[in-house]
Amino acid sequence: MLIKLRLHDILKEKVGAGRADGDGILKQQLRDGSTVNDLVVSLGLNREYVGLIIVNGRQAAFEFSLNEGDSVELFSPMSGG
Amino acid sequence: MDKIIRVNLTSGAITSEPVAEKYRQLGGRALTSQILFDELDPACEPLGKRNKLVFAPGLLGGSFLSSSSRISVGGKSPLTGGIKEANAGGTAAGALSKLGIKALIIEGESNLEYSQYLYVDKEKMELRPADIAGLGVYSAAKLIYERYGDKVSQILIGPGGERGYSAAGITNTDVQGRPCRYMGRGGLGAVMGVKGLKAIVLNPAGAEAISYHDRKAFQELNKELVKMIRENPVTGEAYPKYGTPAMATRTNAINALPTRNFSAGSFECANRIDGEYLYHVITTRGGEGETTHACMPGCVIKCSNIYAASDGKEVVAPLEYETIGLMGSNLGIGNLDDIARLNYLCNDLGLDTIEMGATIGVAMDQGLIPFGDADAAADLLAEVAEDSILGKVLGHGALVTGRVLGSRRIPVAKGQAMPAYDPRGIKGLGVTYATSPMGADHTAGNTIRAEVDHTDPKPQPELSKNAQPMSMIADSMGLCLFIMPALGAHLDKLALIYEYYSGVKVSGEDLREAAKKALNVEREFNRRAGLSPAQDRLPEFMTDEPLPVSGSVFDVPLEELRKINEE
Repeated sequence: MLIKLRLHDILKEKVGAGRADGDGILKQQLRDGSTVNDLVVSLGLNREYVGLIIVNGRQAAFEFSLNEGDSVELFSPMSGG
Repeated sequence: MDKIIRVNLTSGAITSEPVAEKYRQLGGRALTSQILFDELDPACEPLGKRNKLVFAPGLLGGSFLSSSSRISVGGKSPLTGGIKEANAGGTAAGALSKLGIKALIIEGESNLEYSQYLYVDKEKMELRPADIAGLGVYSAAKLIYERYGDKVSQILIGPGGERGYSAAGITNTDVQGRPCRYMGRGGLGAVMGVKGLKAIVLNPAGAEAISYHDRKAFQELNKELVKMIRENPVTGEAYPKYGTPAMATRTNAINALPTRNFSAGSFECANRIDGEYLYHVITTRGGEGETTHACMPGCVIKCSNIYAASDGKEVVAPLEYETIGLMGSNLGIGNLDDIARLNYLCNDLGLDTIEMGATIGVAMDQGLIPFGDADAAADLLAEVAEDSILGKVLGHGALVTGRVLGSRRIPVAKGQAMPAYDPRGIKGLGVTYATSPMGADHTAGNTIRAEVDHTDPKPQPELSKNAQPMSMIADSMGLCLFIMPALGAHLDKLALIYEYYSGVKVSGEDLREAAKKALNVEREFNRRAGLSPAQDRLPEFMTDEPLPVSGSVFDVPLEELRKINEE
């Protein structure tokens, strides 16, 4: 299945130049039944780099099962000040 | 740090006292709160002569451990009516430590017709007439540097504090001499102002009171801790490059970005005020702008920034997430240049940008000026500067302004404005706002990094309850909260580095227990001040009005909130 992915700030850089466009958007092919965690692994990202997951506009967990056409956003952990 | 300095503004007496045994293992917030508990009548008037201000570096203050020189100030807050501590980076903690000062207590109130400033060097401590009275903090700081040279550290207030405005903070100078490191919250600038004290000039020249119990072991462990900070993705990569403004995309994504007086959790211009855009603007413009800047000497994270205008000239430093959230999206303003200008105006007047952002948001919501109108917001700050009747109202913060303008949508907890996390989107912080002895304060127990659904009410009380002592540990050791992602899970290492600094053997668990004890001291102060569990709640509009996109309300049950302070 194909999902639409948007990476923010340092994750854009982690996943590597050329894979994501300037806005951090890329399309990622995954096996059916994949979870967010599978997606993170497929990107070669260490799980500790991911602090917030949004799927179709709602917060989701690593165990969340993805479906064809889902829109996923990944953020590194952060707190404000 | 072997002495406590007491400045009595009523008598003009300045005395040096040895550190009492019970204070030896306390620092920063734990120390300011314990001294206030021991010395204040908790029911005293915050702006009266019985209130006191206590400044204190943390237990690791003055050491070369990264991010360890935050300065705390405590007092009874004119906003919350309870005990308050605010802290900041900058140079004051290092200067106090070099001068051997563990705490500086300001008490009484001056009967003189002019305000004063306190001058401290290794040989003398004097109150001197403040010919800088009435000046904005930038002009005042410049004059002090001209007089005493650029090596002194300054703690000072602006006109807002001098007039006793409840939104006033206390600032201190950064490494390059900017008076921009605010102990912003709780209106403690007003406490300093009504006492007749404009500034504190700390001249550490020739003073070297800092000593290490085991410098070699400290250096070794410091190397390891610095490595941990640098290798952590948050402290080593995200903070240095994008700084706190990177929060805006996150809070926007989970509908927790204060927008138009907390009426929406997401903002259509969020991608024009976030960390990535800020980085783009600063690097594109060049000139005096910097994306990576240390707020205190020796910090390896360097999460701060210098914001420059299109001509490359510095506008303000730093431009942080809380200001962006409160004076940007919360006002419907989606332009960093506008936010930076408003930030500078607040800084110069000596006002907390969180409190003033919430205040102007309430004023906009009541139709005084339109949302999104940055010029009109600047005009309101000009009213504050001119001390007009409207300016006085605004200067007393969101609650007073909201009441005067007839608002029923005032985003405060215990009278203090909420920072840039809508508690309907991040309910754990809502629990902290409602239950912390500090009132609405994001640094009193932030739950944003927990891997939970932030809108699920169930896990939030436990998260907040665990986060509150962690904040106390950082605040008491003088540590920036931002090293906690790297070191928070290694309290034993923090305990060990404290041992190498002080010679006192403690464990990580001891630090946690001490933090809980210090929180209980604050709670007991508040109880005696007349605060009760009835105030451990959020405004009704937040429990009743769903945010438009998420449909979320703040629905952590009141009985759960009350349990937090029962144990």
